[in-house]
Amino acid sequence: MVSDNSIGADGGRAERLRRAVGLGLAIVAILSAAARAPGAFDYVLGQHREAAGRTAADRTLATGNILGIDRAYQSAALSLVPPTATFAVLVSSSPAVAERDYGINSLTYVALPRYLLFLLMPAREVPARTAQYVLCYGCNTDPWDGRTDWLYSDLHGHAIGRVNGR
Amino acid sequence: MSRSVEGLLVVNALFGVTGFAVLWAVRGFRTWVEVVEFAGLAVMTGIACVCLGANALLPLGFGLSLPVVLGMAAAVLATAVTVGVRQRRRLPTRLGIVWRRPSPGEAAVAGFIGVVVAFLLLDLRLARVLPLGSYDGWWFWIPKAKGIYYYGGLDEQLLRSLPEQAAPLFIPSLQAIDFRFMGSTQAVPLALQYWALFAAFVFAAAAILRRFVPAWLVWPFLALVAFTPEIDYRVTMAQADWPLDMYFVLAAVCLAGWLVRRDRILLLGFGFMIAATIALKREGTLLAICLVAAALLAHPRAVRAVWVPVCGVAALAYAPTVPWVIWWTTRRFTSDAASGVSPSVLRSHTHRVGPAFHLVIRLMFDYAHWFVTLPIALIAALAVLGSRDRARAVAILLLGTTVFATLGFTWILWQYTGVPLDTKQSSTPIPRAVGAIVLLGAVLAPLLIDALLRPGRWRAAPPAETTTSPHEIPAVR
Repeated sequence: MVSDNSIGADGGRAERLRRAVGLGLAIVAILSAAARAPGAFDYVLGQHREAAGRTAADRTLATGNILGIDRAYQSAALSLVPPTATFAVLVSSSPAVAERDYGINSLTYVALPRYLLFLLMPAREVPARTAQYVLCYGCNTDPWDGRTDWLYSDLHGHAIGRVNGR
Repeated sequence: MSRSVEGLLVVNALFGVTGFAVLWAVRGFRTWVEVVEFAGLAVMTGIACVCLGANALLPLGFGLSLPVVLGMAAAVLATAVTVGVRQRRRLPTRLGIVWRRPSPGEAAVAGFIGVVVAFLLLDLRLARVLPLGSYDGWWFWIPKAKGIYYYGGLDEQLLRSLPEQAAPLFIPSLQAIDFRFMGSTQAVPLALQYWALFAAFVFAAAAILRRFVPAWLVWPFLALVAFTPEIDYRVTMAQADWPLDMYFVLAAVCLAGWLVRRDRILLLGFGFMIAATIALKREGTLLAICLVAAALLAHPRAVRAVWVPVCGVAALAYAPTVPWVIWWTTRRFTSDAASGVSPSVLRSHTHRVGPAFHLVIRLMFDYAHWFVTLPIALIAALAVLGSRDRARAVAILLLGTTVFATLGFTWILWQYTGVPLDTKQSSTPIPRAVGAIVLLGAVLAPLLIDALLRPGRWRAAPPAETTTSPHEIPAVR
C-alpha cells in the first residue's frame, strides 16, 4: 500500500501533471460530447423523416429494393408462394448473361436466392427438380413452359410459376 | 401499438424481471432508486441468461416454443429467488431519494443524462420505422432465427444451405424468442430489440461505473457513446456485432472493477457477460482471449489471486457454447476460422500482414466513425501507467486488450483472404469489430480519468474479498 506521505517532490510533480492530464481529458470528453450532440440529433431526426413516410409494406420490401430486386416481383412472390410450399430460384447462367440480357447487376444476381429464402420462409428452398414453385428472375423459362402454370410474369424476364403435379 | 411491438415489450419485460431476480440474488438492492438504476443491467443480464440457456438447449434438440422460453426464464427466476432467500436478501425498504437543492455539478450531470435519454427516445422513434438495413441480418442471422421459429429448433438442412454455418446461436435465439412473442417473423420490428439492448447497455454501464467514479465523469463518456456516428448508424441493425461489443464491454468493466476491488460479484458479472460475448460471434472468443490475457498481464505474478479465478471463470463461461460446438463439428459443418491456425495458410499470405495491420489501426482511429473516444482513453491509460495505484491494472487492461485485439484483427485479415483489405462495411467485419475496442475505451476512460484526478481514492489497499460487495458500496458522489 502506498500512502500519500511517501510521495516525494518528484512524485508530487508527477501527480500534479497527471491531474492536469486527467482534467484536460475530462474537459475534452465533455466538449466533444457537447459538440457532437447536434450532429447526432440531426442524423436521427433526418433518418426518421426519411423513413416515417413509408408504409409497412415499403419497410418489408425495402431491403430487396436496396438490392435491386423488383418490388412488384417481391410482392408477387410473397402473395403467390404458400408458406408450406417448396420453391427454387432460377437465374441466368452467369452474372454476365444476367447483366447483358436482363439488366440485372451482379449484386442482385448474387443476393437474389438468399434474399428470397429470407423473404419466403417458412417455404423451403429445394433443388429445381423437386420444387413446387419456380421463381425465375432473368432465366430461360422454355424448359418449364409445358409443365408450369405461370402465375406472374413481366416484360423484364421475371416470372413465378407453379409446377404441375408437384 | 402493433402486436409485434407489444410482444417485444412483453419479452423485454420478461428479460428485465429475470435479470432483476439474478441481480437481487447476487447483490441485493438497498433502495428503490437503486432498482431503477440497475434496470439496464437487469435487461442485459436477463437477455444473457435466457439466450445462453437457449444456446445450450437448441443443440440438445429443444425448440424455442413459448413454454420452453417461459420455462427457461422461470428456472433462472427460481434459482435466483432460492439463492436470494438463502443469502437473506430483502426487498428495498427505502425509496432512496433525498430531497435537496442540486449543486451546479449535479444539475450539469442531470442535463447530460437528460440529453442522452432524449436522444435514446428519438432513436426509439426511429427504430420503430426503420427498414431492415443489415446485409448479415437477412443473409444468415434472421433466416437462422426463422428456422428455429418455424421448424421447431435447429434445422440441419437449412443451416447447411446458409453461410456462417458455425456462427454461434445467441442472436438467432434472441430473434427467435422475439418472433415467438411478436407472433410473426417480421424482421422490421427487430430494430426495437436492438434499441432496447443499446439503451440497456448505456444504463448498465452507468450503473457499474457509478460504483467507482462520480456521475459527472460517467455521463459525458456515455453521451459520447450514444452520439458516436458509427454507433448511431449501425446500432439497430439486426446483426451480432453491436450486441457482441456491448456484452464484451460490460465483461471488461466488471473485470476491471474486480481487478481494482476484488469483489466476487464483479467476477461473477464478468463470467456472465463474457459467456454472452463468446456465444454471440466467433470474434467474441478472440476478444475474450485478448481481455483475459490483458488481465493476466496486469498482475503478472498474482497466479493464485488473479490468474486462477480469471482463467477459471473464462473457461466456465465457454460451457454454454460447448453443445453447439459439438453439434456443428460432429455434423462436419464448415467454419472459416478453421484455416486460420494453419502455418501453411499463414505463410502463404504473409504479404497481407502489413496492410492488414495498417487497416486495423486506420479503422480503429477513424475520426469520422468514432470521434475522439479511443484516443482520450488511451492517453488516460498511458498517464495512469506511470502511477503505482490500483488503477494501473485498469490501464494495463485497456492497453493490453487494445494491442492484443489489434493483433487479433490483423490475424483475421491476414489468414482470411476472402475478406478484402478495404474499409467497406459490406465486405469486411473489421470496421464493426474495432467498435468493441472503441466502446471499451469509452467505458474504461472514466475509471482512468478518475484515478488521474483523485489518486488518493485509488491508492488504498483493496478491501477484503469476503467482506465487500457493491451492496455495501453506494454510488460515488
